[in-house]
Amino acid sequence: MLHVSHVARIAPGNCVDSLLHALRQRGYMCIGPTLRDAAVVYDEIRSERDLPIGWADEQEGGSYRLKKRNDEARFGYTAGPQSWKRYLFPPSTLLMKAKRTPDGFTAEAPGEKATPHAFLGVRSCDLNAIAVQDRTFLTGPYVDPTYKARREAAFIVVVHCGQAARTCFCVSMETGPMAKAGYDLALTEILEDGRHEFLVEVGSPRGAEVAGELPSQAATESDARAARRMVDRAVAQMGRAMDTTDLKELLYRALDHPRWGNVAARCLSCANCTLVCPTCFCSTVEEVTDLTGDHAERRRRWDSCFTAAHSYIHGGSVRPTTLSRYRQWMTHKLATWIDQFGTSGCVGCGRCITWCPVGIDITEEVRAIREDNRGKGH
Amino acid sequence: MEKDIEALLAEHPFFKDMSAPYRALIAGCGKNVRFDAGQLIAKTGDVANQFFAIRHGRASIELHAPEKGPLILQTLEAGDILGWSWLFPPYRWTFDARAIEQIRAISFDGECLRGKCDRDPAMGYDFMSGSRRCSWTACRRHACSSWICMEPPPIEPMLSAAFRVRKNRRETADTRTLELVPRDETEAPAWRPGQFMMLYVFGVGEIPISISGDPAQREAIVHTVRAAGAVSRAICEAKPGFAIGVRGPFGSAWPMGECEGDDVVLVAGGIGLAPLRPVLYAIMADRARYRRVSLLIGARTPDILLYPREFDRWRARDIDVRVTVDAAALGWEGSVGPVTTLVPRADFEHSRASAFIVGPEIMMKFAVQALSDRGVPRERLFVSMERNMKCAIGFCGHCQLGPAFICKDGPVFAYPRLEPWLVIRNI
Repeated sequence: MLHVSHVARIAPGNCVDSLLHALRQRGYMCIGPTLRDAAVVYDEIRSERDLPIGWADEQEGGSYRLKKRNDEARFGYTAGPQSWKRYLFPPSTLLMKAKRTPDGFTAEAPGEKATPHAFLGVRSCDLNAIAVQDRTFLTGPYVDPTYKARREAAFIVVVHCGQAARTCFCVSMETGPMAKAGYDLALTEILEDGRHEFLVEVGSPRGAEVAGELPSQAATESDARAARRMVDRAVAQMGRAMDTTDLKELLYRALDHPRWGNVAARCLSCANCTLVCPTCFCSTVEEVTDLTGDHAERRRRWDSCFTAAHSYIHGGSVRPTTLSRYRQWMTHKLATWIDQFGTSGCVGCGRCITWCPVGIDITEEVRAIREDNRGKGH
Repeated sequence: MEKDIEALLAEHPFFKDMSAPYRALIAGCGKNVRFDAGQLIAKTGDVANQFFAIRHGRASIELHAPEKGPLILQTLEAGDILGWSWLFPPYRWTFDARAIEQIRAISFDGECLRGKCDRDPAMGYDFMSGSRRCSWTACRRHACSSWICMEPPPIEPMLSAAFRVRKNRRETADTRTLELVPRDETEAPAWRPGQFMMLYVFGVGEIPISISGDPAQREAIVHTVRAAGAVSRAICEAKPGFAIGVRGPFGSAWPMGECEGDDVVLVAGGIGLAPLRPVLYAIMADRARYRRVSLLIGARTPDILLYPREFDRWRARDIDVRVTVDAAALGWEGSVGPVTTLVPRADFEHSRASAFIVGPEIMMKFAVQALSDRGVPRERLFVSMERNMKCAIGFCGHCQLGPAFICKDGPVFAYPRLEPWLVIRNI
């Protein structure tokens, strides 16, 4: 019987080039962290030099700044502005190609062949976010063919977090900082007392094959303990917390709460939170024609529940106010999502806090509603 | 050990027709397992790397349904197979499975099986044809627990099929009824009263439109469309022969079966009569199945009443048709006032009535109130909802109303399910 190997290996701190080589040999395009526009973003990684070596980030409500670390960490940053949904559920997708014909039109599926991607440096929160989007796009009744093709082709290299941002709260959401399952390989970057190595864990047969090509040796108990210390450090640095006790029921009771008016007075309805969120899946479908008018494309584009058009039916928007839109977003994320998909839509990555131009903090909004309800004896 | 498993497999209905050498190979991936009553066998979202051939005992397949908690979809028993999620990426369970009583089963390692099928494709074929030996329905019963309750959905659910306009008839100044036939001369897809389609005009776009025709008539799909935006205007202007793209049918249907032998009250506001007309066709086709049937129609003015030529045909089939308008015009001799004023006058027995209501949201709320005042139980009031829709298959997120997706959970809902949400402003 074939078993997934759970025997960990220990590899040197500069093993990433070997990893990239092994993945490329298998036909994967490697996507990982790189520096662009003063942020860590995901793009094609051709060599270890493309990684944000020695960089960290400082995050707070409405603020993101890079800063130098005093080591050569390859994965010494936390969640950046992008998530992997950009690659699994791209911002713009071709759904149908149509051509004008003498008797009307013909239409065909795009038949696009997905490039197999290897995701390098998937954080536990984002791995959980992928599992959340799997439920939306794969668990029916309908299956999204674009997402399915990309998802099936993806090779996932997790990096357990060795540090956390001020905006992180994965511990509250039980989504990190250490990934439990659903990866091909999981790395822990061990950085202590001049030591720089990776603990490599295998999560799938193909992961085992790739791991076999890394310069490595069997990990010891002491290596495993060192890796554990890294993750414990991230847990200790967790900057935010959210009490999720009966959160769905709390929000269902609070649909008329005055706090929505309070947050609406600050919210710009700019949609940033929905675009950086790794689980938000709203999209619109557009008809795009060329100049001749003979060719048309049906395209899907990321959309946001913060726009007026999102809820428009003839006569006006169902949610015409910022209050109604913020309430929709937050109650969907934390409450109705549970009824829809059996899981919270929030993985505690903190992006919506960092990238909100006015620093609205979802953990703070939950706390405010919770405390006020307690005051009223609910 | 393997010999034992092989012998057990030979007795199991799913494996007994398999060729012996292959059965021996597969036996190498199996082991005996036991679950106690109440024990969880599979949990939604967990990695699915096993499937089970049940030898003794019964198991329930449960789905977490919005607002309903666990919903038992199916029970499996000795001779059944549990779980196919191991075969398809992302290899995660799409349901919960629980032992109802103590279960003895053979558990197979999915990875081991996939490996053997990869190495010996002929065996893989034989194994999979085990699941194909049964028809789709039987398969649903016996094996395909992860595909439960679904007709096979299209692989490309966002691809429109080309239909041709056969007829385009004027209903009112801005509303037309179109008959659409598949351009490849095939039969139009089957659908149920209450469902909708996504209609597409090349170069303009796509909108959801409910079906307003006769469900028994399979050669054409009939839609009544009011010109309100760019796409609906283009549809209304479509001449016979013009190509219209069609996806669907989508969504839930009116619970016709639950109303058999009882009184049916249909309440329509404005163009809301269109999604109720298929109900009238279905009732007329089988009038004896229903007791008293009332149709209460409201419109702003007499000139925008839909299908007035058909009122007499409906009346002839013992359907009590009552009509009211908000503002009368010269020559109008009927009632004036909102449609809810017809409810107290309609002839039905409250304890045996079901009501289907379609119209503007505010009208539906008042209709619910009027019907409740006459004593119709809330859970027998059904409404059809409208929201912005871009995909119709639960992906675009636009049609959410609280936890419900109007496109796939609706558009037809039992009113109590939506009531807590409909009372909130701008929800």
